[in-house]
Amino acid sequence: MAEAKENQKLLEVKDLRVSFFTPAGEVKAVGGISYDLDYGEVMGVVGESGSGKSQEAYSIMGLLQSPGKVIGGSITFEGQDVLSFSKDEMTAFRGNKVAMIFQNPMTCLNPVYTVGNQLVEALRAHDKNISRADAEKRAMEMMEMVGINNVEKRMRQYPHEFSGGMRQRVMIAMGLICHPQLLIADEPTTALDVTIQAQILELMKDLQKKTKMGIIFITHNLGVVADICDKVSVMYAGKIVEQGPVDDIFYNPSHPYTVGLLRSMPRVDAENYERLIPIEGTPVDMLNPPEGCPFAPRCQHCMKICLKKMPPYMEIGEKHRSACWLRVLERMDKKDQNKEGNQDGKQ
Amino acid sequence: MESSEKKLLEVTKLRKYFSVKGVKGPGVQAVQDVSFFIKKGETLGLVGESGCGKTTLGRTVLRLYEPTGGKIVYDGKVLYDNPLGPDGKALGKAVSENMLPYRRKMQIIFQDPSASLDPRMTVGEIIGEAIDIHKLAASKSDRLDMIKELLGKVGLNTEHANRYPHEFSGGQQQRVGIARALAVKPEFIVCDEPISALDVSIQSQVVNMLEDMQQEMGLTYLFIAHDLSVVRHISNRIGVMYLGSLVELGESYELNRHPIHPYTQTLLSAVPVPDPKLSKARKRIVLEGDIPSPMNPPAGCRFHTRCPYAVEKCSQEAPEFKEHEPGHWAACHLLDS
Amino acid sequence: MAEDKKMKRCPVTLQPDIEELLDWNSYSASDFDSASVEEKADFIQERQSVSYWKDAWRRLKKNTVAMVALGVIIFLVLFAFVGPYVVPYGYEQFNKGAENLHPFHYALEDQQRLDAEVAARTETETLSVDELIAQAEEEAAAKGEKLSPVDIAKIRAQAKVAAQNTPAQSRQVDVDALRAELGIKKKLFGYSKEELERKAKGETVFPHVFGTDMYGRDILVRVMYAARVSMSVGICAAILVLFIGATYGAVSGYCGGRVDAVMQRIVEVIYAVPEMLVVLLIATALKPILTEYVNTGSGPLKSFVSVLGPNLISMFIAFGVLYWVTMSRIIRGQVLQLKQQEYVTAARALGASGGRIIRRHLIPNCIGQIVVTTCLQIPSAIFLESFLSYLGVGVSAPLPSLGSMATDALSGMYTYTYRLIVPAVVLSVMILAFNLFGDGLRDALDPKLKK
Repeated sequence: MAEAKENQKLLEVKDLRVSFFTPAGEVKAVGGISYDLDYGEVMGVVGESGSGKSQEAYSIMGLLQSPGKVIGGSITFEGQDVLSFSKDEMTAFRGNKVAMIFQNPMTCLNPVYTVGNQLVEALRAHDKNISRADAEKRAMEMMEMVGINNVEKRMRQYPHEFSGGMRQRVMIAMGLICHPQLLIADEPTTALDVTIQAQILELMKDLQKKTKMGIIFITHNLGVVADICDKVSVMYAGKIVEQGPVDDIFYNPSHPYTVGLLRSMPRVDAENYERLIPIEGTPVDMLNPPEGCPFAPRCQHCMKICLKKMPPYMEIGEKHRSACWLRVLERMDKKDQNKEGNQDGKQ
Repeated sequence: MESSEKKLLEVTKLRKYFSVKGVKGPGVQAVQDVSFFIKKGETLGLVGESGCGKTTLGRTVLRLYEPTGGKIVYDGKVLYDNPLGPDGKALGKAVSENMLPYRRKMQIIFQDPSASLDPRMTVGEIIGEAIDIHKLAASKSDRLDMIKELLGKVGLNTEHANRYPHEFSGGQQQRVGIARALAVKPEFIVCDEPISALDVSIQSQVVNMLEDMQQEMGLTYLFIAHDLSVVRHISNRIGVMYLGSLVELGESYELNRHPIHPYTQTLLSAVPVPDPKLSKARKRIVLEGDIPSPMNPPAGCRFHTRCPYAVEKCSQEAPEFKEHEPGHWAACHLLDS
Repeated sequence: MAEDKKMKRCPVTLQPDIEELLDWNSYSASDFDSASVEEKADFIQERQSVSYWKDAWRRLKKNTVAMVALGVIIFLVLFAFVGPYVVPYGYEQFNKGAENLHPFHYALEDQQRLDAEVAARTETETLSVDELIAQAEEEAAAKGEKLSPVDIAKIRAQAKVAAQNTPAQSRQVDVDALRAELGIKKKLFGYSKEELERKAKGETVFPHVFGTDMYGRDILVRVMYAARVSMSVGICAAILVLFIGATYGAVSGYCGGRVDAVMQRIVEVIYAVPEMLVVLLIATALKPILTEYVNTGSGPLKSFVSVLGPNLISMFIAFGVLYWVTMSRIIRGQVLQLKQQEYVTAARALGASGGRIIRRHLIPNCIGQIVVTTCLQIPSAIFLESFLSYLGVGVSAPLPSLGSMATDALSGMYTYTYRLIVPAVVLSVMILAFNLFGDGLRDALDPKLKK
């Protein structure tokens, strides 16, 4: 698939802006973010609560809740403009092309229908021609695929008879039943226990290998990101502050926020006690976000210009970008040196 | 392990069942015969998955939940004693001490900072309530000074006293919760998942603050969390709980290096590491199945249904919780042989 | 130079040219100095403090219906409590010569013109009786007969009876037609003739805006007092219900377990009692006791009882006994939910007593619900009071009530329709305003309920 359309990305998001118009004022939940996703790529979106990471995903799915609104930018999926879809097109798009799984699997399953029924309905909603028997067969296959045993019996059970981990498996099965090319996972393991989280992560990695789908994995847990993602976008206050391949983000972080995050966590493999180095301060109030870099007031290296103007994205390495004035300054210094070097050479 | 160190809190065979309406039998067996002690000035970490009874244990120790059986001794004084026979029936009359004087010494910090602060009270009132209940302030100005001092201690401005909790971020709310607990100048604090509801960048602030408070005031903590890496960081010793019972307890770094109980091993291997290379290189023990319901726990070792090493004995006989190495307790039949 | 400035760029790079993007030269070196702590602090704009009530008020202000209702309530309160001081009549003052006034009048000169005209016409009409006789005589003469005196007397008697039977009606019809003929128009407000004369002399006479009743009592003033009675009764009853219901519900919810079970069974029993019947029963049973007490008793309680009257007191008792159950249910539900909150556990961990937890934590947190329920209780209490007064077991005689005014008006409903309409409209508007305001208050205090 990927080879056929070499230049086409699975998903391209450009300067996406999402605002919530609350009675207290406009909340710029997403303030102009851009990224792209290749076929079969897994991108992690990391950020604190309120950083806009979920809203960004909801706008791809057309699931933004009032008073939220996409106020700018574009979302292109396989060359199609998602934001211009009609209601029917959007419904067809959801499920067939893109699926989403949520943080809390209990609230996403209807308690009055059996799990099997819900899977079959999900399938038949998108494929009107499929017979009920075929749909049931597919549903059972899917349930087996996500590691649910005793499928025949499980199909006839109600959501409350499933444990949290099992429900999340059902949600994944339901998401994947129409073979979407993109799966958006909104904190799928946050509500689960560590051992169950490990199960689900293994399952998702496994399924990703089998189906070659792209995944946008939204989480606040850097450990999970390290485990499953190919590349990472770090969000802070509605903006992507750093973006790059997973190894670059973890071993060569270039934005002070990413650096701070990595430093502030106790490492599970640490051998001795080391005092943690926290990021001081509190997150910005999204209701009146200041001009300039939102991280500036918590940043150790904060400069006067940081408070006035949002820095541009600077390319640090291959596909590794970061928005920080420090990087701009570095680049300019390097350039000056280069220039001097060139002039010297000429003379 | 110097035995000369004073045990501040000792819990023996503590049991807490919640009766369930319309269901016969013992109900939810949330805490099943847990024994441990905490020394003065140390931090005991308690980890386990949700529903393993760690929060119930923390609250039962404070007698916010009335225990079903067992013994709680605080600073040499018996707070509760109700020994149970093997059939679960009480052997004698329960001894239970009036808790009011101990409320000043034993405090708790909660998981959800926004839920644990009364939304209709200002921060000053919330902290002042503790002072009022125990009549710690001689005068109004004295009370105000105490509130201001506490706010300063947890890194908030004194003018924050007139604000309502919802005006603060999660981290600041948790600071208010800590200030409330500290208002009575306690000796022992149960930290019930104090950081799991907070953002990653805030967690370390709170952890550091708790460490500073401990240093400064000589506090003793029972630190409950599901995040092993944080617990290991802050604790001197760690207890691991599974389905209401304590399965392993040991020095924190020792437990981390040499977990002897199969459940601890799985738990350690399941924690995601924020390091892509390490994470990919690591071998993970992925447990099959789910945690059984505490309403109807399996017989014998409670972990045997998911244990990769389970033998027949495990399903018949509950293993004894005993010291296998100095300072390292565990409950597993495999270690006995 | 321009080429010099450009950096070497990787051909596939996403990196835009920084210099084009930024207008690099517009920045000075000082922009890249470290920012001071103060500058960082200034950067964060603190959100201004919004308390629960301010926030609720802001939401309420946006609700037009509720604000109109609030305006109406304020108007009614002024009407009922300030109004009687503006109007110079008392609610039990008989205005002689001003009985049965309509809420409109005719000017004195118009009245005189009308009287003259009526007098003229009435004369012609009486003449016509003689004409009738003359006519009959002519008819008789034509037939060659003669009218006997008996026949004449018969005709006279017939005419007289006819005149007596329909004088008012025939005159009225005539008068209305006459007024139209003469171009006499109704003028607003009722004045008696004597009052008009006084007015003509230059005295200021307060009009009977809504007319008067059969005793000459000013209806406006009576409606004001009636609204005052209704509102006071409604608010007092609601407060009574609030205290009993909230305490009962809070205790029941907080204690839980067996205590709760027993208390809830009691509530169910009270729910099953037909309340209207009980009110009537209590009123009947208490009347002799209270009357005797008024006659023989002493102290401040006596004057209180005598002002309110036995009926009103029995109504309050009924409210106290029966009407608090809804409130108690609502509060209990809230308390059951709030009790699970961690801040209650936190208070218990601090050693707070049960009473303190109820007072400091549980009640303040369901205050929104309490306020809304109380506000919605007021109209139902007003309605009950009016209904009882309408039946004649409400407010005691001289004191007007909207209900008793309606009863009084029933007898002359067709002629004096306004006597029924005025109290009915005031009652409806009052109940509607309280209900709408209560609904708005609920939306404002509990925004989650709405969605």
